[in-house]
Amino acid sequence: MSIKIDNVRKNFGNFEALAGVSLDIPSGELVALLGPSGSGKTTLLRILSGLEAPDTGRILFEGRDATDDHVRDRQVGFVFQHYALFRHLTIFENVAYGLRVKPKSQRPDDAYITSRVNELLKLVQLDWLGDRYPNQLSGGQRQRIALARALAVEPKLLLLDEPFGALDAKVRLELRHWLRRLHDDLGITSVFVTHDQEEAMEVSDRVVILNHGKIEQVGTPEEVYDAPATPFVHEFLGLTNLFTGNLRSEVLAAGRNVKFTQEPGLDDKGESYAYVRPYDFEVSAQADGEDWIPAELALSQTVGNIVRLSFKVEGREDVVRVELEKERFRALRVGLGAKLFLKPRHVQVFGKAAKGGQEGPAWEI
Amino acid sequence: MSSSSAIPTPGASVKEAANTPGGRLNRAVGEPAWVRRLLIGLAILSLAVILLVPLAAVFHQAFHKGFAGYWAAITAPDTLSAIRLTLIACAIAVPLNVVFGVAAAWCITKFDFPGKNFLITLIDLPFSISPVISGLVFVLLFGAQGFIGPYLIEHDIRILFAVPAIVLATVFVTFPFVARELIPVMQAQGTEEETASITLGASGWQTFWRITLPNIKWGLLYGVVLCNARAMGEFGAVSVVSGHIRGETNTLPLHVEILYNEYDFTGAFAVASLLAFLAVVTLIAKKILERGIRAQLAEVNASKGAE
Repeated sequence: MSIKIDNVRKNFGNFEALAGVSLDIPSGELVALLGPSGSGKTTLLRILSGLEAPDTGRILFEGRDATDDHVRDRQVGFVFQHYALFRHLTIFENVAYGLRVKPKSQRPDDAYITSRVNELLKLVQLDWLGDRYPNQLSGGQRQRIALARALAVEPKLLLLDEPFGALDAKVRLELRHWLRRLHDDLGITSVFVTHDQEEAMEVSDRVVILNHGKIEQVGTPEEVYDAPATPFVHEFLGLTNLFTGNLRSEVLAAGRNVKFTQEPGLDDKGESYAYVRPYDFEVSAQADGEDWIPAELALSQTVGNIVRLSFKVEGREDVVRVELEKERFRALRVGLGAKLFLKPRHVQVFGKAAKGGQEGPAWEI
Repeated sequence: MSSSSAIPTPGASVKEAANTPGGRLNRAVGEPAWVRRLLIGLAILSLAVILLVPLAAVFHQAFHKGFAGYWAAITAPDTLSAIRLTLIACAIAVPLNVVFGVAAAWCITKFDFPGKNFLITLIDLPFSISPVISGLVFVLLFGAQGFIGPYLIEHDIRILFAVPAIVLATVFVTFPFVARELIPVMQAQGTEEETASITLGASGWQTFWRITLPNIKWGLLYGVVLCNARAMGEFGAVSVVSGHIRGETNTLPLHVEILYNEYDFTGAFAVASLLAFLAVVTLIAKKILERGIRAQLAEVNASKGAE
């Protein structure tokens, strides 16, 4: 089912949860709503489900206005962060619930319910748990049952509210892959909310990044990662280093010893923000050519195959974070306090307007 | 010993200490044995004097003239009429308060609205005012000098000094019991399961019967038991509105008082033994139900905290 969200706004008291959101979701797509807490992503999901009503704006399902439809009539499956399984019912009855509460005229007979529930339990690979109760299951099993229960009524749209948020790291990873496969098999239009950018990137066809009730960017995981539309998107999608400076004649000067030469063709943006990801630095003992930043190694931590380094740069308050492979760090043969040189391989530059003036520059020239 | 793996420590106090819930009492923070024995002894003694002796005395007095005397006292027409009236009052008051209590607890715990705290306070009102005042409120309302008294007299509707007033007073006094028991249970359970039920296509009514009610059944039964015990035992409020007409508007507690004032001790204690028996049954039922509530709440915590 295709979905159109048309300029939806929602306030809770003085808090603006959604400040005019418009979004099109084509049929069969798996979309992630990604954002920090308070960004409005869960509110948007609940508005899609009908559990909240928008203050203004419309929700269209297949081009038909569904804004005022009751939750019951929307044919939407909802999966909750804390599963919300019915404690007093067996797993079988949990999954059968949606079929049993149908109006008498549409209610299937017991034989159909039994076969349908067994089919769903097989689909989530838990058909041996039918006569257990929810509290006898692990978290990952419960979430799969919650999904089977939501699928029982053959929803046209599947909504998942931080579905893996309450699970431990390993189970979360397994369930992610499993959800992706399940979606590919069933092809139900699905929207899931997450604050974990890795989860969003790994599972979804498209990522919608929300901040302060507004959409910052919509795109495939590659698009939003490689070409973030705003500084917020860049910052939210992973660790990064911010340099503030002036862009003039394709050179961004950001401090006495810091300058980045831009690719030709960039407009002069005046005061600008340059971002460099920690793994986008070259580290060398000698400055060999242009754009090398002198820096002093202040801290190193080895995490698996990666060494995380913090460098002090003259005139800059924040350290510069750099990640190197362990082998390459060893090859440098240096310890703490060593004077080294950094050179960014890839810089993302935003003009002042893009930053929106929410935060001051990290440091001044 | 509560734990077989505990390292045995020499000394007589170990065995007594082993019964504490947390396992063996740490001797470093415990009191000397004689202090503990003294305190436990005092507690048991006061329990016996205040609770067990009176209970025994009730039954002793009741059977003072043998079983025949006891049976005669209980089957006296006025006593039977008092039993009937008490049962009628309970049969009306308890179901009403179940409906009120469930509705109030449902609306307080599943919805947010202005004036919620005021409503919670209002539910507790019957707990905080003297039962005599509760009775007087109805006299002020329905009495000859009351607000709607003249209208009632005009239309020959009898409320005060009749069964309706007794039922009303009982309903009022026992109002908080069901709601009070349900609010914490329903608060702990939250609204997630109800929301899930609605998203699966269930109506509000189906959700209540299939999801909410099974989840609160132990708390509800507990409230019903307490409500019933209080309804049968209520004296003050009912005494004010009943008019004490023998064989007509006397409930069991009022009948005990009348018999006692007439120096019919065997009769008074025989009827009192019925109420005492009810109290014992209530206590046992309460104990069983508490276990059910604990199990149900443990399930909530398990399903919330589990990975």
